[in-house]
Amino acid sequence: MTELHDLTATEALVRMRARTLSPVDYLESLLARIDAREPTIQAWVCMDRDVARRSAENAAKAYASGTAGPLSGIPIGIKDLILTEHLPTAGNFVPMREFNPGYDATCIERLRKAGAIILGKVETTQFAGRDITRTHNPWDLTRTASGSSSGSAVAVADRMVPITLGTQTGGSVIRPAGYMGVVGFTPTFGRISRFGLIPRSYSFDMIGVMGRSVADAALSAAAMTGPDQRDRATLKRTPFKLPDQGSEQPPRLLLFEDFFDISSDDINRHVILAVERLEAAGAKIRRARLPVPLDLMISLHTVILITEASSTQASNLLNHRKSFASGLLSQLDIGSAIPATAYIHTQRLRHRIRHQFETLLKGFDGFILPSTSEVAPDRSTIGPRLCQTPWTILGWPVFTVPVGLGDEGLPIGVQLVGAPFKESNLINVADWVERHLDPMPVPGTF
Amino acid sequence: MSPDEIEDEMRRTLIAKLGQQRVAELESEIVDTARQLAIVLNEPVKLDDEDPDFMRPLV
Repeated sequence: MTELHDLTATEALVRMRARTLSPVDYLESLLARIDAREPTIQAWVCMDRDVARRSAENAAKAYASGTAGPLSGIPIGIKDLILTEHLPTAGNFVPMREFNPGYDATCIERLRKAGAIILGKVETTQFAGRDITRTHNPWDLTRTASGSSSGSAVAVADRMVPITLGTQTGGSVIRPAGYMGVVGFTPTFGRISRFGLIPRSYSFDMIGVMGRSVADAALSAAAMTGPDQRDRATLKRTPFKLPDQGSEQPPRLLLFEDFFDISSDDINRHVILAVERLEAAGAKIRRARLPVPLDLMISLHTVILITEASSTQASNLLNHRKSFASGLLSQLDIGSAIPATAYIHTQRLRHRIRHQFETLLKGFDGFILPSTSEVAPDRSTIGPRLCQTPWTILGWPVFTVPVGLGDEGLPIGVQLVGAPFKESNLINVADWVERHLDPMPVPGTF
Repeated sequence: MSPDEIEDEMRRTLIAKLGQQRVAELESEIVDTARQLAIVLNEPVKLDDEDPDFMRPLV
């Protein structure tokens, strides 16, 4: 029998709407799961159980009165870089331990309006940098929990909560979600307001979601989209439409072989098997090479990231230098030495590269490639960004969907990259792919 | 510009800002970043690649 904490959000919502599951009972099952697992996993920074219980009671009333929203009664964990009115936001930075300006980020406002329960804050690497967190990987405690959205990925994988928010500046949603065998989704840059997100890199930062199904990720992301006067990038963008799922139309995808050159044999073998299975089910998948060298894209990302990050942290560098983790501090120091002309040249180059990819995408629904270049490595690193960074540079929507376990019993995923602002189409593609692959097993270590 | 030239320029800037000792600690990162910066700067961007709002891609 399925335990309540094993339900996906979509499954829980079906039961709540049918009045066979109380939001209060659902929340209590997740809190019990957290109590059992948190001493080992350490995914959570803080939570307010009283506020969460009141929200669950309100959700129960909403179902009883017929006023429930699309996420009523669904507890959500929030990466500790996103402002929440009732909880502090520290960004894993000791001087900000009590930081709380007393309002919600726009995405949190919208989740609350949709009826979600903002359960608590989950671990992030310091300001979404590269220094690991204390969080443990539930698949293998000796492996990395990755980052920067480590708590977000782990809390979903470990059945502590069905949905979490993460943020991506390089690969910080897709990589940890890929390592943990969960679904990750970052909509197009400009779809979800970043107002209330502690910035790392203005022109890369995106808010994304993690869940255990494509439907969960799509539903929760859709609830946060739409224009916001406080984030200029969103102004022209209306919320995307959730497609009717279950499309039988096989997708047309480009498979970038460049990523097999840099990925482990384990990853390559299992991703190729998954691709062959999708082709056998009718997907049209054409092999291709990247239109620009991967090394150029990674270098471009580094230059923009460290320059912008050094600017966003200028005040903290001046006042709290000793509180920075060593890896992040090195990046910030180096970033302060990038000439303005080099930064601007790099942004111009980025624009050209985006056009090259747009040309390549014509006639296809999206790109397919491994989510990560290897399974979760040891705890000394959050893992490389090679497979994820190109799409962050473009700002295009991306899913990671798990394809199963590799030779070491660790999750492997495929990334699906769609055209900008065509999320509905990409959700259909991801849903089709998910339905034509085996569901992820529940690992014995859980 | 070559990676060596970029390294030298970065070192000069960083010594002025952070001092010799910190620059020694950052040596491997300086070399790696200079290599990446050279890759990017040696990639030409033509005027017809321009977009007046390049700072806000996709908006």
